[in-house]
Amino acid sequence: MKALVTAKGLTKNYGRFRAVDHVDFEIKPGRIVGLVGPNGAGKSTTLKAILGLIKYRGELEVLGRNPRNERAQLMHDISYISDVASLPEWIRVDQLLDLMESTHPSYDLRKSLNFLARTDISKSQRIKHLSKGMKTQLHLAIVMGINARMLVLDEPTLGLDIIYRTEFYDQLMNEYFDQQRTILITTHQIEEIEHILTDIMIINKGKIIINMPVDEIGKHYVQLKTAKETAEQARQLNPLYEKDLLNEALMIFENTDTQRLHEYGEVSTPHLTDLFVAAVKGHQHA
Amino acid sequence: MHSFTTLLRRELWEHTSLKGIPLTLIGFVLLANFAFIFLLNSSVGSFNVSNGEEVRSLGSYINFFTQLEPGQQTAIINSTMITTGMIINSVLLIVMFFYLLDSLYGERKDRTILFWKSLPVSNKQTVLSKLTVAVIIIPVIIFFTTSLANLLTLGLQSLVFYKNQYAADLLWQQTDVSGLSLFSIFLLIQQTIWYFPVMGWLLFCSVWCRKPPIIVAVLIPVILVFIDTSFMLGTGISEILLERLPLGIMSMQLGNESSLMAYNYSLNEQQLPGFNMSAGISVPSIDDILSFFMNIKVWVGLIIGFFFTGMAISLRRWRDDSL
Repeated sequence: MKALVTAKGLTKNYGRFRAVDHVDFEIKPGRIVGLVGPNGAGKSTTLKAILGLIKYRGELEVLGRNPRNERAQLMHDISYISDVASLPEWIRVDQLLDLMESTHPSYDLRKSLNFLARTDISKSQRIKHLSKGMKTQLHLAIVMGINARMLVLDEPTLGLDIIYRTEFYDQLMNEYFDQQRTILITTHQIEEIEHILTDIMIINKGKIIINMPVDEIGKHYVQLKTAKETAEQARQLNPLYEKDLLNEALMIFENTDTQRLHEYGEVSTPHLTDLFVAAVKGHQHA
Repeated sequence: MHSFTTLLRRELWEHTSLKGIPLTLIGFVLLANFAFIFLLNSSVGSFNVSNGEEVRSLGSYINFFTQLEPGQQTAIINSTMITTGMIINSVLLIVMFFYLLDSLYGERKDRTILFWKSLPVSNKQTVLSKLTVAVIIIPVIIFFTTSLANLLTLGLQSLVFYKNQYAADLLWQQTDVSGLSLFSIFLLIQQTIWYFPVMGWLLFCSVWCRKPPIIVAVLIPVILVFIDTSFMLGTGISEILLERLPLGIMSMQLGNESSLMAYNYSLNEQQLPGFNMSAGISVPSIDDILSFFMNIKVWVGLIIGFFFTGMAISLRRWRDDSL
């Protein structure tokens, strides 16, 4: 199946600072990909390159187009939500819907209205009078109306409380996502999206350090919970990352002999959150 | 095309001053009319309508007006209307100046550029929609605001003259509505063409600058003029810049060789007895229009304006929410 997004040697410099450093990746259709990394890792820069918002070096093909020259055409098939602050504060909800209907050829106003009908948002309200949570709901209502092949979310729940964050992802999965659509999400709060991801790309200091389907993580990474007494022996196997628990140590190993680890304690597949921390810390120490 | 008209509507939704300021100006015109009528009615003040000649009451004002020659009556009406038009025009040119400066900078400052760029709308459409507001919509607003303000003034004056039906009729008879309208339309078209390079420059600064663009937009021309005049380089850049910079029709009336009013419109020198201002108008002839468009400065200005607009379109491609 042809990839929706293909990047080869993608590089972006801001002056002397290299935000993205010769990155290669592919995003296949029907996947939910999490591009995660700490603040300043290069997540948003990568997204902006995909969306044709910035200059970059290297090769990038998105939905068969070159985002450098074809941003407007690309946006026929891509929905994009940056964090809620990007909606114009002065606009009224009805004006926003009117704008979407007039400018977006594949926009279905009824779908947005159906979604909005279940919220407390009134069509005559201005964006500046909506709470952050309502703004996110409105943004989601717009996304619902766009018949896009790919949805790009850049920290979409930034600044929202846990209720709205959970609701956002629930609605996204239940009402938007189907096997025909692809979602690319960036966040540094991996714990809130780990249950919905099919693929994970961890980026740090401009480089992608992990890129694989979530169901393959267990093949490459294992987590060991071991007692303090056996920790030293396990440490000889070069864990990628280690953290102290109450009376135990938690270690994450990459491509190691799982049979030997069983001798030292409980072995399991690491949670994405722990893997994320392990990859970033391990990368920093490397 | 449908999305372009939506982009124009979006500009009007966002920039409420494009509706608010014309309404406020009409309010001021009404207020000035009421104040004038009140003072004449109450006879508490006097108005110097000609050198040494004062009117102290409504009656004496009506007498003064009816006794003038028809051409002089028209001249008085025209001078009132042109003055109102000049004020409205100047204020809305200032609005246009700030509108253009903010048009592509504001979206980066408040990060809404990320939303606007998520729409399937090209940079060319976006920049041209903002230019269209400056080139077409604001001049149209100026025309209708001036027309409405003048119509209200005439209406109120007619009401004041109600005791003297002859004077009220005279007021309407001597008003050259079509002449004034054509005069305004031609003047606005010429003004827009003349200031087109300035509009392009402001758009370019709006998308180019990472700090508030007013600093660069004003500072660069000032520095160029300063260097040229201080060191007497004689490059001619000072003349080129200064003749494009004055705001409003008022500046055009100062007799500057390049000014539009002096360039194209021959003001009828119908000096009123005791009046110092030339208040007649004449609609430009075909020759006047041709001579305006034959002027090389007009074409150079248009080319510069299009150049800066093209640069603004090109630069916006790579602008994101970072300043």
